[in-house]
Amino acid sequence: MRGFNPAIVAHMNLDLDEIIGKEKKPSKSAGLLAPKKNMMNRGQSKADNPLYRVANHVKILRDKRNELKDA
Amino acid sequence: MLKEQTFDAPIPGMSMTHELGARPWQSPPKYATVDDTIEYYLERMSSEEFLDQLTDVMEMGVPITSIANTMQLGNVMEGVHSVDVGMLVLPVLVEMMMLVGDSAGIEYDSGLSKEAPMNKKRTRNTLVAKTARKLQIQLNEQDGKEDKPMVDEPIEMEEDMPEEKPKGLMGRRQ
Repeated sequence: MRGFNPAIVAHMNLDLDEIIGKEKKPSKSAGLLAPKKNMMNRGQSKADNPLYRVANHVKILRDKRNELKDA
Repeated sequence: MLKEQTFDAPIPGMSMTHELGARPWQSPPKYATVDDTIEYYLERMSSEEFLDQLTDVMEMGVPITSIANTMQLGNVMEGVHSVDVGMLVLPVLVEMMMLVGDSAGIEYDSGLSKEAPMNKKRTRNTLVAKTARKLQIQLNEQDGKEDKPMVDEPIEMEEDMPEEKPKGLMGRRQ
């Protein structure tokens, strides 16, 4: 009997594209005094999110694995 | 179909049989962040001894997801990291083990698909080992029986018994 294994769920639900996403270029502000950062998300960068850091580690390992497969 | 019984679950109230904080998982974990925990695992998994053992287990057909879950659960119990950090770290462990399997060039079961592809093709190594062990036990038992002196059976000794001479009047005489 295949019991509940959180590793399967965790691995299957880790959507790298969604978590890491594509780097967005900061939009140019119109004036000199225009705020450069979104005040709502102040102090909350992506790198502070543990899930983002885990996704980055997984991406590195997966890329390495793909390299091995292709070679 | 009968439901499979599992007896490895804790007894209700078992968690209260010790003082609060006496268990390793009730005290603050050694590594509190995901980064520290990943570093700990990567360092541990890069040792040669661990890699040899891991490849052996993977070759036996044990799913990688099961190995990863067992590892993180064991470390939670030892107070290395917390349960939530363990859950976050799981995909890294699975991916790392898959990388180890690929670099070693072995066929492994990731545990992510319902059917293990390696189990379809060939007989499981564990099954072969189990059968070989049974056969060895049987052979040992047989050898033991042959070597052992038979104590239970009466030993018939041929002795030079003097022939009884007929005693009666009608007895033949040589």
